[in-house]
Amino acid sequence: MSKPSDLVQGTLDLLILKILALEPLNGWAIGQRLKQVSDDVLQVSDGSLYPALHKLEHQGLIVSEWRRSENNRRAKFYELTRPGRGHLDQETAQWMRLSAAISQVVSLEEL
Amino acid sequence: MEIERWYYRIRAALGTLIHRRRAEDELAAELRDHVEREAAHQKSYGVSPAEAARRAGASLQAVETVKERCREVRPMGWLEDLWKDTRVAVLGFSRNPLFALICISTLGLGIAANTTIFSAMDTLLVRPLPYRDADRVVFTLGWSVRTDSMLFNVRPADWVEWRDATRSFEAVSAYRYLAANLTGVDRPARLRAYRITPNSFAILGVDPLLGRDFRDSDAAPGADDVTILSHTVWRNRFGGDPTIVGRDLILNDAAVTVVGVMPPRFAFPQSNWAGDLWLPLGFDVASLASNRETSASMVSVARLRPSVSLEQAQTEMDTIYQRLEAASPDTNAGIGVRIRTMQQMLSDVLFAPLVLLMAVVAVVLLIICANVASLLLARASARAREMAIRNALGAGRLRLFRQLLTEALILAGLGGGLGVVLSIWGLGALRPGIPGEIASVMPAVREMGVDLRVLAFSGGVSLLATVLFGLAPALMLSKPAAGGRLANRSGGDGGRRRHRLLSLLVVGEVALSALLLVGAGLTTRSLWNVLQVDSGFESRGLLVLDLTLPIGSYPDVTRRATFLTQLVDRVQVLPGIETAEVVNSLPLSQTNSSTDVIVDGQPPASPGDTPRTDYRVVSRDYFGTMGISLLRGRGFETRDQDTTTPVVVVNQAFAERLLAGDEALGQRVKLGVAADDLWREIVGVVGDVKHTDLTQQTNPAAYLPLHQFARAGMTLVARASGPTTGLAAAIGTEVHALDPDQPADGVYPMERAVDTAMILHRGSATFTAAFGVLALLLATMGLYGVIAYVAAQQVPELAIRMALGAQPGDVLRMVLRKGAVLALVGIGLGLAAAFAMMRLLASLLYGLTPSDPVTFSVVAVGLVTVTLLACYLPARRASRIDPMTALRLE
Repeated sequence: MSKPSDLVQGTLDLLILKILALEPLNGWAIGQRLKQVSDDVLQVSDGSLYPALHKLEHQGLIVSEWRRSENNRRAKFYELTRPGRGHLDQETAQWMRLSAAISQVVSLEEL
Repeated sequence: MEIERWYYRIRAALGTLIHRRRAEDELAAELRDHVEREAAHQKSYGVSPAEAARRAGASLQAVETVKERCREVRPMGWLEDLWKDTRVAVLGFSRNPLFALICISTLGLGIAANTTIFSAMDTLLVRPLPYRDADRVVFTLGWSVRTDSMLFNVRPADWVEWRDATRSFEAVSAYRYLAANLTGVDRPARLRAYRITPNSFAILGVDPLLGRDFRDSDAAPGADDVTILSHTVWRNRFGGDPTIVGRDLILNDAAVTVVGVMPPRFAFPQSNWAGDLWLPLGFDVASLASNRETSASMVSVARLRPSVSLEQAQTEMDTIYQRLEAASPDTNAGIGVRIRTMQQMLSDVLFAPLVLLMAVVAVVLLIICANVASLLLARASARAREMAIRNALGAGRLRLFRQLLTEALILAGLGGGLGVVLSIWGLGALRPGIPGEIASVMPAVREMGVDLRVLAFSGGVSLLATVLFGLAPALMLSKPAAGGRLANRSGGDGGRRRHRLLSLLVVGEVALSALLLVGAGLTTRSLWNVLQVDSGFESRGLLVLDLTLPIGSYPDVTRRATFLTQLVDRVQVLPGIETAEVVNSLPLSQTNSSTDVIVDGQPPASPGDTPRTDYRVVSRDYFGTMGISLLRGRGFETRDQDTTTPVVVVNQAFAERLLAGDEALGQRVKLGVAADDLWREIVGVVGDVKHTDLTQQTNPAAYLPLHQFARAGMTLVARASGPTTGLAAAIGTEVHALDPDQPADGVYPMERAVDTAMILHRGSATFTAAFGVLALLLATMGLYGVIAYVAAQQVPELAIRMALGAQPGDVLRMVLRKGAVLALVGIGLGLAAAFAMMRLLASLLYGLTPSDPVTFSVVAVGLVTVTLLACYLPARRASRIDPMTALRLE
C-alpha cells in the first residue's frame, strides 16, 4: 500500500487547507494551484490528492459541493469549514515553529 | 468548534454510508472531470488530443486504484467491506442452498441443544435460590457419624440444645412436614403444609407479599393457630382474593387464621416438597429435655453469620455434638450434623447429570463444527479458482480471509439464531412435561428459560463455533498458494494441505462420536439394568390415593382403622377393582418410617448401635394386592386384625440381616414404634420390596397389622382388573360417601411413581442415546462426504491407473483403505478417550462399571461396520469409473 511519498505526510493536508483558505476550488484546480504557488517545487501526484481531499472531508475540515465552474461545467468544489480554518491556524503556527527550528539547526550546521 | 467539526464529520460519513450509490457516482464523476480538465489543459499547451488523454489518464494512475484509496479513507470503510462480504456470502449461499441449509440447520440444532442445557444448568446450579444472600442459608443435616451417611432429619431434643448455644449462626430454624386437609371449601384438598419455627422466613430473608410474617407469640402454647399461604395456593385455591388475610380456614378439622401470603417466586423448603402453606412450630422445651428419645422428626435450616465459614460452623457443631454424646450416650452415640448450603444440596443431586448432558451436547456441537468445516473445505475446491481470480485482481490476503470468515460468521449467526428460537420453543415444550414430583422438590425447574445470560452464552457459542469451523478453512484458502496457479484444478500444494485437514477433521469426528456412543451405551445398559430390577411388587394396574386422617375426626387408632377398613371394603367391590388395601408408607412414595428393633435372645446392643428396621402398617391382604411374594409362613389373616394378637411379618432383608440367618418363623421381636412393649411373633416372611429407590439395597422391614397401628397418614392402593379409566372418580365417590370432608381427587397410577423413580436413568439414557445416534449419523455423513470428495479429486489418477491395467478391485481397495485408516484411528482414539473419561459417569450407572467391556466392544464393532460402509459406497463408485471418459473430461 503506497503512501503519499512525494510530500511529507501531513504537509499535503496543510497545503490543501492553506490553498482552500483563499477560495473554494475543485480538485484539478487545487493540483494546479499547488504547482503554481510552490513554483513547481512541490509535486503532488493526483493519485494522492483525491484520497487526501476525501480524508479531510471525513475529518470535518472541508466540505464539498457541486457547482458550475467557468464555461458552465459542473465540478466538485471544496471549501474550508470553520473548524478547518481553526485547524489550519493551529497547524500553520506549528509548522512555523518547526520550520524555524529546523532552519536554525540547518544554519548551525553551515557555520 | 469541536461540535461543529463533528457535525461535518457525521454529515460526510452519512453521505457515503447511506447514499452509497450516489457517493460512488460522484467519485466517478469527480475523477472523470479531473481527467477531462487535464486533457483540455494539456491540449492548450499543444499536446495532441490522444497524447493529452493518455497523460491525463496516467497522471491519475489507474482511476480504479484512486477510487479504492478514496474509499479506504472513509471512516467506516470496514462496515462497507462487511456489507459487501455479506452480500457476496449470501449470494454464494443462495447459489448453493443445500450447503447453506445443512450447515445452518445442523449448527442450529447443536446450538439449541447447548443453549437448552446451559439454561437448565444456569437455573438449577448457578442462579441463587429465591432467598436473601442465599449462599448463607444452610441445612444443618442430621448425620450418622458411624456410617458417615446422611440422616437428613435432626431430633428436636438435640436441636433445642444447640440452637441458642451456637455462635456460627445468626439464627436457626426448623421445619416439619404436615399433611393437611383443607376443608370447608368446595372441594376438600390435601395440601403439603409445614410447621416452621416463626423465625424461618426472616432467616430466608423473604417478607410476605400480603399480611405479616409469623411472630414468636404465634408458636406459644395456647395461641390461636395461624397460617401463611404460598402464592400458588392463594392464586389457585382462593382466586388471589386480596382480602384473604384474616380469613379462617379449616385445616385438619381445626380453625386457622390466614395472616399472610408469600411472594410468587418464593419456594420453601428446597430438597423436600415445596410447601403449599406454613404454620408456626413451637416446642415444649421442658418435655423434650425429659424425653430425649424423641425421633428425628424435623429438618434444621440456619443462616450463617457473615464472617463465619462453613468449616468453622462445622467445627463448632462437631464440638457441640461430642458434648451431647458425652452427656447422653444412650441416645446420642454416633450422631452428628453436617452443614451444607441449600444450593450445595441441590448441586449434589444435579451436578453429575447436568454436566453429563452439557458434555454430550458440547461434543455434538464439536462434531457439527467439524462437519461444517469439512463442507466448507470441500466447497472450497470449487472456489479455488474464484479465490485465485480475486487475488489476481488485487484483493489482498486479509481481504479474502475476511470474506471467508464473514461467510462462516453468517452461517454461525443464522445457526445461532435458529438455535435460540428452537431452544425457546423446546424449553416451552419441556416445562409442562416436568413431573410434579420433580418440580415440587426443585421448583426452579419451572423457571428454565432463555434470558439475557443464556442469550449471551448462545452468542458466545456461535462465535466459538465460527472460530472452530471457519478459521482453519479461511486461513488455508486465503493463502495465495491455494490458488497460485489459476489453471490447476485441484490446487496442487493447497489441495494436499486440504486433504490433510479433512482427514484430521474426520478422525476427530469419528473419535468424538465413539466417545458419545460409549456414553450412550453405558447409560442405556444401565437403564436396562434398572428396568430389570425386581421391585418386589407389581405396579401395573395399581391406583393410589394418599389420605390424611386428621386428629379431630379420627382421634385414635380404632377410629382410623374402622374408617380405613370400611373404605377398603367399599372400594374392593367396585366394578373394575380386584382388591384394595391400605399402607402407611407406599414403596417409591418418598416417605418412610423406621423404628428400633430388639430381637428376643440376642445380646443387648451397645448405645447408638441398636438395630433399626423400616416398618409398614398394612391392612389384611396388602401382600396379595401389591403382588409381594410370600416366602415362608403366612400373611395377615382376619384373626390378626384384632387389637391384641402380637404378630409381625418381616421381609427377607430383616430375616437375613437382623436374625443372623436363624429360622425367622417363630422368633420374637420388640419394635420401638409399639408402645405396648409386647413381644411379637414372626408369622411370615415376604419378599423384599424396593422402597426408597429402585437401585438401592432394601432395608429390613417389619409389617404390622392395621388395627393395632393405623396412622394418621395412610395410602389406599387398589388393583384394577382392566382399564383404569373412570376408576379414580369411583374411588373418590366411595371416600366421600364415608367422609365428605376427605380430599379424594388425588388418585394416581402407581406406575407414575415408578417412572419418577427411574427418571434419572431413563432421562440420561434417552438423552445420551439420542445424541449418540445423532453423532454417529453426523460422523458417518462426514466420513462419507470426505471419502467421496477425496475419491472424486483422485478420479484422474485412478483413471490413469485403470488405463494402465489396475482392476476395479484394486481401486476399490485403494479408496477403501484410505477411509478405513481414518475410521480406525478415530475409533481407537475415541475409545481410549472414553476409557479415560467414563469414570465421571460412574455415579449415574447401575449394575455395570464405566469400563464395561460389552459396551466398548459393541461400540467398536458397530462403528467399524458403519464407517466401513460409509467408505465402501464412494469407493465402489470410484472403482466403476470409465477411464477413457474420465481422462477425456480432464
